[in-house]
This record gives sequence, structure tokens and C-alpha cells, in this order.
Amino acid sequence: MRKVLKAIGLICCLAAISLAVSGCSGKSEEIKNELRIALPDDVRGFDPSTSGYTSGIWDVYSLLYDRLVIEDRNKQVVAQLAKSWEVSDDGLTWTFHLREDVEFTSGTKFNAAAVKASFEFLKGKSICPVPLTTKIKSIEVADDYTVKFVLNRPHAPFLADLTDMRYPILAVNDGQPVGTGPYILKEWIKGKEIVLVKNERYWKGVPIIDRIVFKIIPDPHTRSLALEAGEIDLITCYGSPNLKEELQRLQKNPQTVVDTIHNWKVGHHLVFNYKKGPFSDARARKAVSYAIDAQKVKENIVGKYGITGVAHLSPLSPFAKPDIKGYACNLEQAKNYLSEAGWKDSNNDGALDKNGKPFRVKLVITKDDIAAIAEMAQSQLQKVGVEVEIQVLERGAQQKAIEEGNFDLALFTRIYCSGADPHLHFRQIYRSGADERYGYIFKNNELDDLINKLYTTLDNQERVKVYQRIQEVLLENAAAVYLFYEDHVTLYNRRLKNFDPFSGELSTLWQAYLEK
Amino acid sequence: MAALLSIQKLRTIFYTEKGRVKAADDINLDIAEGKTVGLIGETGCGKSVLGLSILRLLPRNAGIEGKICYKGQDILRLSGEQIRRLRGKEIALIPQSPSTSLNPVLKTGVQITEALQLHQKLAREEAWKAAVEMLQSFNLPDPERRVKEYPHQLSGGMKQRILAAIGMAGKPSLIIADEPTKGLDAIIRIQVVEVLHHLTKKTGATMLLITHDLKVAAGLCDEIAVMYAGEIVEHGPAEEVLGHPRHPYTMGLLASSPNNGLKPIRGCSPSLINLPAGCKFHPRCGKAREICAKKHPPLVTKNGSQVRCIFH
Amino acid sequence: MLKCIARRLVLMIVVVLGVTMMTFSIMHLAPGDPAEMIAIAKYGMEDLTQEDIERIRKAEGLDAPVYVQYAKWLSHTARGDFGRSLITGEPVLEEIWYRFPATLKLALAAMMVSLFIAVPVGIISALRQYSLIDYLSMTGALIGVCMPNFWLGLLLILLFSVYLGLFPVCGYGGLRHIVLPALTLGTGMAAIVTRLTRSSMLEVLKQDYITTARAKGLSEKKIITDHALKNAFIPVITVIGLQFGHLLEGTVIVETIFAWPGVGKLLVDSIFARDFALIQGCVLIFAVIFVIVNLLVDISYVYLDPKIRYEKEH
Repeated sequence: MRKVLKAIGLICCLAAISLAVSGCSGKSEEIKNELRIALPDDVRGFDPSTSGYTSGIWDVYSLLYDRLVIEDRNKQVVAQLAKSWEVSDDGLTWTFHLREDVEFTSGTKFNAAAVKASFEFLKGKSICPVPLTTKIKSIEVADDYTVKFVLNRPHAPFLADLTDMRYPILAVNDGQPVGTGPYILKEWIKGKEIVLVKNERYWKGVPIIDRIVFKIIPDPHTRSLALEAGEIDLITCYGSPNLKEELQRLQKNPQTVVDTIHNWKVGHHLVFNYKKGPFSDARARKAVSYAIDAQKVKENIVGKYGITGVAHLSPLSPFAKPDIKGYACNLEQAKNYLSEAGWKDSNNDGALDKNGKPFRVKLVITKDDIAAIAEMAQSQLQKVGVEVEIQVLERGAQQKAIEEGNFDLALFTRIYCSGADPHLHFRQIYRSGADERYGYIFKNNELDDLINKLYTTLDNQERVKVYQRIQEVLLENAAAVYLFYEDHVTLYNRRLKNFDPFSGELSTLWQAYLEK
Repeated sequence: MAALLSIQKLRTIFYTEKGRVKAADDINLDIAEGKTVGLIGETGCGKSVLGLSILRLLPRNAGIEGKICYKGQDILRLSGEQIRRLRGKEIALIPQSPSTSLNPVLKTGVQITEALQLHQKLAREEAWKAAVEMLQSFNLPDPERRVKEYPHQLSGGMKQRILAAIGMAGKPSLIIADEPTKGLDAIIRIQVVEVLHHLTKKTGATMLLITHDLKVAAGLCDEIAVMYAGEIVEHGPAEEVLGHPRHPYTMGLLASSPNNGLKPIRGCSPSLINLPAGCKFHPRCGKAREICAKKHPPLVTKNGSQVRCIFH
Repeated sequence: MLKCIARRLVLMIVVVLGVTMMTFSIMHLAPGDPAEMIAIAKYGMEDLTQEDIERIRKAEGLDAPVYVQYAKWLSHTARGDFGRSLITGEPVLEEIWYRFPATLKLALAAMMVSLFIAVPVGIISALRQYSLIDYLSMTGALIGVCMPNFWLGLLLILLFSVYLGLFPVCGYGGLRHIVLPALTLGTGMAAIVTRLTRSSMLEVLKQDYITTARAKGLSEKKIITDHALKNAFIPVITVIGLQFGHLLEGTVIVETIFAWPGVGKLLVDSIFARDFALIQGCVLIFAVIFVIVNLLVDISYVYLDPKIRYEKEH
């Protein structure tokens, strides 16, 4: 027995020692001028042609790389590495005039040749090439600081697409991409942190904060607790919906600043199965649109951190139609439409039926979705006699159900992260034949034409009109029920000053500083 | 001669969920130095409880009242530490059921030597040597090998001898042998009896032999006490009790032994929770009268032996 | 003994093979197009086209029947080639090897935490049955069993990091970093082991050989350490082996909460992304660890219980 105890003791001691030794670096010297940012997901590398999308990666990229143009806080496309630009009348040639005072962090000069090389690099080696590069026929270096993109066919949102973080300007140095951004990659400890140091040659000026450390913290609750404990200074992609209460608590914390900005990039809506089942009838779709109280859903889920949905794009989008008529909650109207469509409560059990069949529909959501949204829709529809069965599926399974038309309603959470123009989303889901995965979702000829026009209409005024009409068509046909748009919430320590966090951009950090 | 152990008005009660179990009630028993006293009775009559009461080895839900005087001091009033010093050294137990009374994960030698080291202050090697010698004196074949083995490798008789060796390790003045022959086959029983005989006659130790085996009792005991349902019903010199039993229960026991034709006593022993009123044996007694169900008979002393029956 | 271990090693290969085969088929039978899932995980879902998906399907060999894919994986793995992650393109073995020490450290620390708490508490509870300590520890154990890891983890962070500032909220590093995750992970196991130690100890203390030991005049301490513990440990050790599986399972959540860069987190991510090569690698590692731990348990079991030792020898 004694031997056993000794053996156990020995093993424990060894384990303890190994733990102690491995951890004896202890508390590292506090580096004063260091900003720590929470990153939800580790990146897969710093080469935009292969790294793909991981949550938070654009934050890292926006500090390392610049783009020709970016989207500002007012959702306008503004200059970054390009000073100015023009497009030919046929919409095929885009000419950019470049800044002349920019250097890559490797010391190479930024110029037209660098832009050309950069895009050729991006087109690169991946199985799935970065989409925009396939639309470019050729890139011409007109002079040192003028570059021309010649497209295969007109692509009106070209400029807006260039604001996408996937099209940074970089140079390849020793096989590693380097940018012109305010910070330089120093170290990447996989799964743990990414360390950046300031770029002394940054073209806008020398950044004030010496080091920026992205700490990888996957759990949203842990992220906010780490902010409260002062272990990190900044959270950028704060998912507000499931964390409403937490956000309210954080707002009371004198140490933290909660910066919310109404956003049009994250919207929640319900789409109908347009081809099969009860919602192939427009009257049934309209009834549901009237029965759902989007205002209430929004209040319940995100409270003040969001805007109620009316049309496809949030009222804050530059492409929204301010006076658009949606479906304000109206139970009488809903009932009228339902009875018009032939749904009656013939056996007086409070549930509607037609030809002896009850009005029972299936709502598919994914595990990542906010189940409470679906539950609210369920209870609201029950009030008009429509029974909703919620099916929580894994993302792939939901996708499959939608692809095969095995649903009546589906919850969509759309994050438009590809630049300043939301054309992709409309093309993918609402244009006939664009993507067979969305075959059961509403389509019609007028919409197809309008979506095609998005690519040929260069004039911004006209584009706005096309977008407005698209949204009207969707509403007229009650193609979807628009619930709400989440705010973009940025949380940071009060010590961080002179910081303007706007949508997905951290490059403004170069002039921020940390108060002692 | 003063008794080495004197039990007075001992009452042991178990407090269980089903009720109070009176395992021993109003027991008076003296054991003189050098004598072997047999405590006989059927299984469940409380005789083992009496043995364990003396060493205070009963579970925590047991309550013991009365007096157990050993060498003039009341065991029931000793502190935990004092009683611990008595155990093994002064009073030893040879437990029943050899198959479960040895620790299965320790070598038999360890189980003997730890007692030797404790009581005789022997060094490790000496203790092992002494253990082998003790086992040899108990006629255990190949003792050097056996001490290095685990209990499951030994036969019942071998285990019983290991237990005897453990008991004797402290050279105790009083040995409580609790059913040492229970569950053993005839050959082994003879071996064990030899060992016990060896212990008592050659070393002159005092022994309380708890058994239901009348033959073993007859061979070893100077005195015999018969227990029934927690009470002593007859007590006297061995030849008296076994030769001229006076209590109907003793008679029945004798008649039920294999030598006398295996005539069982009718009925079965009563539950110790709901004991019958009056004489506790009356429901099974062939001679019982009405009065037996009403009056609880006292223990009457007659001709140097005691009997608890209304007809004596 | 050696023969027995050899036999167990063969069995281990069978188990591991079975586990990987099952994982492989489950992952392929799960709804959703794997090629699409991989594409989404890799490139984001926004402007993915069907052609992209088909290209990925072809490039990763996902168009072959499942059994062909498995056979291919197996033959590569048998030659020590675990393949590359479908998402990151890094060699699977490297990815796992990089994160493995973190998970092992966490699991060992959790095990130590739970054993150092559970065994003494269980013993004390048994010795002082129905005392205040007993009631407290049993209530604690009950709560410990019921408490989900993610909740306990956040609670501990809130208390020890945010309010008291004793330990860091999360992250991988020194001893201070491991305390809270190890506590979180170890609590469930500690609760079970406490209860088991207590009941096992109570059972042992009732045995005849304990009475024998008492009758010898041994001190209570010696009775516990020399006679009761070893017997009481036999069932405890078995359960510890089985619980180790749950511990590995727990790392999945605990690693996420505490931003601990281990295999558990990697496994979850790879499952969501249908990164088959990585899933198989992780599962393989977990299965091997689990089997090894149980082998160790069996060996210690043999050591503790002489009956088994001799049965095996004869």
C-alpha cells in the first residue's frame, strides 16, 4: 500500500512540477503601451488568397493591409490608397490614381505595378479564387501611379466591391505578404494570440500605440468578462442579440465604453418556400407578414440595440427606400388574407384548416440562429391559427432542407461583409438560376431584370432606384418577413482614446492612444 | 479466584430502521482465568454480538449497557485509545468466517506481522520469522510460502490458522474465538480444534469460545453457557450442561446434533425485534404451559449451575 | 502480465479502428453536403457558387463513395500520413501535435484537482458519516454533478477573475491560467469520485477484515491507510478510467470558454467545418488516449487487487 501511495504521490509531484515549469514564465512584464483586442476565432494565416474567412479576421487585416478604397462611417466609398478614380462610359475600364507617399512595410515602394502584382497574387493559387479577380480581364500600369482595371463585362459595383477586406494591396516579401497598414505582424502563436507592432513608416503618420495583441477568445461571454476584468481592451464583433442583458450590464460599468452603431449588414428575416406548400399562395405569405410583429421581436431580442425591419435593406442603407410600405402588424388583415386563401377554422379548435388539413408549417433554423426569434414567430402565428413547428438543424442540414424544398419557413441571418454594396445577396438568392441551392425561394422575371441591372447601372442615383424597386417587388410579393437589423457594437476600455470604430474597420486605431 | 472477565447486566441493542434489536439482554457471565468458557446457541441468538461487545467492536448503531469488567476495569468506560490498547494485546479475537476476515489485498504475512510488530515490538524481519514459527506451531504446512501469499490462495483451514496466529500475536490473556469452526469441513474442523486445544491447554490462555458446534464445545470447554434470543438460558460446567441438560432448549440443541440423530427443534428462533412475552422459548418448547407465555423466568442457580426455566 | 498487455494492445487497435470508422461514416451520413460545408467554412458563405463547391468536392476526393474515402484515409494513416486539414491545409498531425500538450495539461490538472479534492473528502465523509462535513460534501457533490461546465466556468471567472482578480479570465500560460479551467473541468469528475470514494469506503469499513484489523489493536489511522484505502480504491480507480473519457469530452467546452488552445476546441471547429482529415485525426488521438488510460487503469487494478493478478498469471 505504501508503495502505491508513494507511486501516486510521485506521479502527482512530477505532474505538478511539469505544470509549474511549463508555466514558470509567470506574469510577464506589463507592457504599457499595448492594446489587447479580443479575436473570436484564430486566423488561418495572413495570406488573403488562401486564409479564407474567419470571424474577426478583417480586424486583423485592416491593421496590416490597406485597400484602394474603403467604406466610411457614413457608408460612403472613400479613398484610401487611391487618391481618385474614374470609370469609362461603357463601365469596363476603371482607372485609379494612386497615392505617391506610400511604402510597404518591407520597404518596397507602393505604385501601380504593386497594385497589379497584388491582384495577380490574390487571383493566386486557391481552389476558389477570390471572386472579384475573375471579373478582371487585365490590369494595366498606365504610369507609376495610375492603374487601369479592364473588366470582362460591366460590373457596376466594382468600386464598392473593392472596399471588401478580401482585396487588400500587398507585396510579397520572402514568400510572406506584407501590407502598407499601420501595424506589422510580429508573432502568431496559433490558437493563442497575434502580436502586431507599429509601422514606423505608415503613410498617415506613426501610430501611437506600440503593440496590438489579438487574443483569441472564442466564447462571447468570456470575451466580455475579460473586458470587465481589464484583460482585454477592445471587443469589435460583439454579437448583441443573445447578449442583450450582458450588454446592459456592461453599459453600467464605468470602465467600459459601449459604442453602438446602427448597422445594415446583419439582418434577420424569414423566407418562405415559394414553390411548395401553403406559402406558394401569395395571400398566405401576406397573412404571415401581417401576423408577425417585427417591432416586438426586435424589442424582445435586441432591445435598443437594433432597428426593426420593414424592407430587405435596413432604413440606414444608402440603398433603402425611406417611405417604403411594409407590413405593419395587423391581425385583422392577416385573418382576412387567410380566409381569402381558404383557411378556416371549421372545427372551432382555434387552429385553421383547409380540406380537413390543419394549417401546420415547418420553420427551419440552425443551431447558430437565435432560437428565441423562431419561438416568437411561432407564438405570434399561433394567434392567427397557424401552427408552426420549429426544427433546429445543423447548418448543413438546414441548407439541405432549403435546397430540397423541405421547409415552409426558414430563418435567414445575413451578414453582408463583402464591401459597401449588397448586390451579391440579391443575386444569389433571388435571381433565377443563379444558385440552385435557393431554388425554392421567391423568383420572378421583373426581379431577375432588376438584379441584372444592378451590374450594368453605373449611375449611383439610378442604382438606388433599382435597389428600391427590388425591395418593393419583394414586399409586393411578400417574399420574406423582415424582422430586424442588429447594431454593430464595439466595446472598449475607457482608457482607449481618440478611437472611432466604424463597421469592420480598425485602421483608425493608428491615431488612438491609451490613457495612463 | 476472581474472574478475569466479569460481564454484568450486559444489554446490547442495535438501533435499526426496523426497530430496536435486543441482541443481548441481561447477560451475566464470569470467565475465570485459565478456563475455557463455551457460548453456544443457534445462529442469530446474539452470542457473536456478546463477543464483539466485549471488545467494543460493534457498529456505531449499537448501544451497550451494563458492565464488562476485565482485570477489574470496566471496558465500557474506557476511552477509545484505552480500549484500543487492550485489543489484541490483552483480549484477542479470532473472528468467524475466515473467508472474509482476512484483508484480500494484503499478504497474509503482513497481516500477522503488523500485529507482532505492534504488540511485541519486533523488528520487521523478526516479526516475519516469528509469524512463520507461529504458523508452524499451528501445523500449517509450508508456512514460509504461505506468508507470502494472499488470502484467496489459501484454503479455509489455512485462513483460520492465519487468523489464529493474528489473534495470538499479542500473547493475549483472553481469547474470544468467534465461531472458529463455522463453515469448515470435518477434516479442517479437527485441525482447528487441535489448534484451539493447543492454544488453551498448552499456553494456559483463557478463552471464550463462541460456537454452535456442541462437539467442539464439548472437546474444549470447562464451562458452557447456552444462549437463546439474547439471553443466557443455562450455564454450568461443561459436563453438567452437556451431560444433564436441564433447560428444554439445551435438550433440544443436544438432540439436534448429528450424533444424537439430528432431531431439529420445531419452529425457528424469534426475531430479536419482536420477542415473545414470558419465556422467550415457550412458542417452541414442548413442555410449555400457559404460565410460560406470561411469566419471564429468572436465572436460577442450583448445584453450581444456572438455568432459566419456570420448572426449575 | 505482458501477454495480457499485448492482448489489450491488439484490442486497442480494433477499438480505435472501430471508432474512426464510425466517426467517418457518421460525419458523412450527417445531413448537409460536406463539400459545401467545407467551402463555407473556408471561404464564408456569401458569394460561394455551385462551381466552387464542385471544385472543392473534386479536389478533396469527396466525390468517391464513403468506403473508398475511408479506405484511402486508412491506408494513408497506416503509413503514418494523417493528411492535411481540408480547411487550413496544414498537416493534421502538426495541428494536433501543436495543441495536444495544452489539452493533456488541462486534463491532467483537472484530474489532479478532482482527485486531490475528491479522495480526501470522500474518505472524510465516509469516516464521519452523517456529520456536517458529510452532508456538506455530499450536497456539494450533488451540485457538482448537476452543474454544466459552461455555467460553472463563467461563474468561476466572474467570481475569481472579475470580482476578486485572483486569476486571469482566460488564456493559455502559466499556473495561474490553468487553475480555473482545471477546476471547471475537474468538478464534475470530483463530484462523482467523492461520492464513489465515500460509498466504497463505507462498504469497506463494514467488512469483516476491518473488524479483524480493529481487534488487532491497530490505530484507526493505520486501519484506514493500510487496510481500507487499497480496497476502497479498486472501484474508484475503475471509475476514474471511465471518467477520463468524460474529461476529454469536457475539454471541448472548457477549452472554448477559457480560450485554451487545445485539441477539444480544434475538434469542434473541425466538426462544424466537416474537416474530415482533422476530425479523424482528433478522434484517433482521443480514442488512443482513452484506451491507454483504461489500459493503465486495468494495470493498476491488477496491482491493487491480487485476485486478478494471480488469475491472470495462472
